Amino acid sequence: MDAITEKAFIKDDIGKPTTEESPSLLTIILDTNPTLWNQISNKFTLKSMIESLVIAINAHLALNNANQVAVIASHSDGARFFYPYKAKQQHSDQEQQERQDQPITQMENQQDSDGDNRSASPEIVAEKEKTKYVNHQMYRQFRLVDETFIESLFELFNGPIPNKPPQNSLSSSLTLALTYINKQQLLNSVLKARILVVNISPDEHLKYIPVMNSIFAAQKMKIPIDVCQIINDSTFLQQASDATNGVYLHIENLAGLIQYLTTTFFIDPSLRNILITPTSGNIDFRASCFLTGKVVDIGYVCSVCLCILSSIPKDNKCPACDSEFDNHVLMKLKKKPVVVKTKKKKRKLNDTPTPGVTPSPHV
Amino acid sequence: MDESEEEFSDKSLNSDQEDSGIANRTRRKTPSKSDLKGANGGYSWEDEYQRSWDIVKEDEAGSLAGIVSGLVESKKKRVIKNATPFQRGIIRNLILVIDLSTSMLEKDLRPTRHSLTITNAIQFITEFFDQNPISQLGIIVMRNSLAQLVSQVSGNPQEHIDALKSMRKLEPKGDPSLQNALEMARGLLIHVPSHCTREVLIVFGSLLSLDPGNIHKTINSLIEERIRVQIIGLSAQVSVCKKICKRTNFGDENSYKVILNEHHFKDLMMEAVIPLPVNKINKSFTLVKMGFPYRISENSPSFCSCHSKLTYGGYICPNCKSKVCSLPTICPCCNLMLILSTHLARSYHHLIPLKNFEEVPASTNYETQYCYGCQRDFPFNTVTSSRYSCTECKHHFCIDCDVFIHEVIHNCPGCENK
Repeated sequence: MDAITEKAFIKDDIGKPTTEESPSLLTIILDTNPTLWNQISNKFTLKSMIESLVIAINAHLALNNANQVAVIASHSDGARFFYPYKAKQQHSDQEQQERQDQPITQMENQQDSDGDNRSASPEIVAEKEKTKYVNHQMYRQFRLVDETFIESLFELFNGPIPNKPPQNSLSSSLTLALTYINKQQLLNSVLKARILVVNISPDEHLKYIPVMNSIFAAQKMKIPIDVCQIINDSTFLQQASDATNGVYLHIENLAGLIQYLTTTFFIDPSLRNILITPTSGNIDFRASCFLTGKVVDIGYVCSVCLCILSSIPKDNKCPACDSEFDNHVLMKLKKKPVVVKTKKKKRKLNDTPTPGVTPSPHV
Repeated sequence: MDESEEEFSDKSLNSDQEDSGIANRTRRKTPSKSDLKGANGGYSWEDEYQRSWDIVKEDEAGSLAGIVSGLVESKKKRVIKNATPFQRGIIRNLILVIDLSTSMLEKDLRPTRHSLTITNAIQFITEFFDQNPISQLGIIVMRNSLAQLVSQVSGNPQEHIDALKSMRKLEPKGDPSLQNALEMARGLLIHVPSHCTREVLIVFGSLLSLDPGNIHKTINSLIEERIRVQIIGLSAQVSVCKKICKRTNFGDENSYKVILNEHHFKDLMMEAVIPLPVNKINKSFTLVKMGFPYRISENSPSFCSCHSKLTYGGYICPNCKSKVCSLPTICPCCNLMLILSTHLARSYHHLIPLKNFEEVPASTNYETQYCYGCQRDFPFNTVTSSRYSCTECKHHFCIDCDVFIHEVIHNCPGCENK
């Protein structure tokens, strides 16, 4: 069983002589939950996180001219792309009437979103210089990515506050990341890909099945999921990185973040067998109960729908698939550990004079 | 089994394998049943021969684009079949029975039936354990009128694959015996707990079975033990196979299929990877106690409880704290089933299938210009929209993303975002 699970990645890429560096796609999933970032704002701010990420993105782009980046925000109201930023195209369509500068913005946005970095005309570059966040003299390849990333981030935070209850959008971010990677790999078959999750949210409210589906899909596609976990430890992301041969790092010293990003999380997937990655060997493989959301280490699994329960349901029915459980088996499960043992002990203490219960040595 | 031998139908003739193996088949008595008639009322061998290259025709403008997209579409449509959730028997126990009689030397499947069967079986096993990680499998061959166990019932795919690889050298010989194989399979499955499924999958190349006794008695005992038999026929329909499948599957004949060509053979094998829906008669639902262990790494080696060997690190049973080497397994100390939650997760999509996307009708004005999944613009095309929309979240997807979402990831990104 081991062969199909953990070792799926290990045999790869060793024997192949690599003549030319193949391009690599780095997909960053950034958790932008505003409440949680606010909670730790005395220690670490989202701004310094962005600064470090931008440096890491630029470094990744600098490694190979054909390298690509995608940034996905996992916000409290859902996931969205920061780069490539398609929503801007539509958004700007609405704004066209107000701004009256239709041709330029439209062209600019199309160029951006295509990810086609080399074909921008000089006018667009001139237009770009007006933007405020990134130094316009920056190397063009970097600037296009950084600008879109930061602009969309500001737009997200300056936009209206959603009235939906906050949720953990990790599942949708992972799904989006995988669909994007799949398409890019279809277009360019030599493209390597990896996902870096910068996560701050705790495990609760996580959509268990979709996240597990995504992990499994990533495992199948041999895409490592690296996890940069800040503040709260996450069980499921540990499992994600373990299943996909990624790196899981729970970072406490946030001042050195840039170093983590450019060293540990920078290792190319093909080199991971050679280098010793800092992933800790102790991994929590516990699952979450479908009913209560609690993390369990010994659970009851419905044989029909495989839903994990922390306790036997009272009505003897599976809460997910509504199938009635076999009473006989339930009795066994309920009875065994607690009741029988204590009774026996009591009997021994009370009943030692009566010979019928326990066979005494002289009988 | 002489009468069953006579009653066969040949459904494998309408494909491109009319060269060999036909002569001895057509010599036998022709069946007179009306269900052998093809779509146009005639027998399938009276149909016009279809060449694969005849399908491709240029349209008025001389372009192949329409045809190509049509082919992609038809491929996709083959993929999407059932999105209705079923209760399925997820914890499976399956015995794979492979025919190794002289009929497997036929070369109507390239290179031979034998070789292709082994190749497909290896793929089947990989895929089977990929999608049914908490299931068990064993392999039996039918050779020289005997049933031989080549791989014990276990959950380790590598053992089975090694056994199959060694069978490549084993030359097919003699006649098969369905009864012997089924009896052996029954013996292997008899101890399986009631919440698991008991299944037999037979790849049958012959048109006869050389049995020591009355096979109908065996069928009755299979029904008693609630063992479900699926058969993939490689040459022609055999009556007794049909009977076995029908009776062990509660009157459902769909579990007996005869291949049309090599590709169809592989498809049928892959179909068997998907767990069977639970029948009314078959159901027994239970809770299974399972442990989700944690992994440790050690600086100094310690003994594992499964092989009693010194190892660095392993998985710790949450119940009795003993160390095991690999998962999924049953704790040797406390008998608790130990699995990773990712193993369970692999089966979820069988139970909760994602709804199929609907094709968006072609129009001049769409809501979005790009695919929600991959963020790429849709091609400008007036004939078809090349968009598929999720019925729940109404987002539009391209065909690549649609296929990927339904085949690999089983999550709709749009619905997740709600």
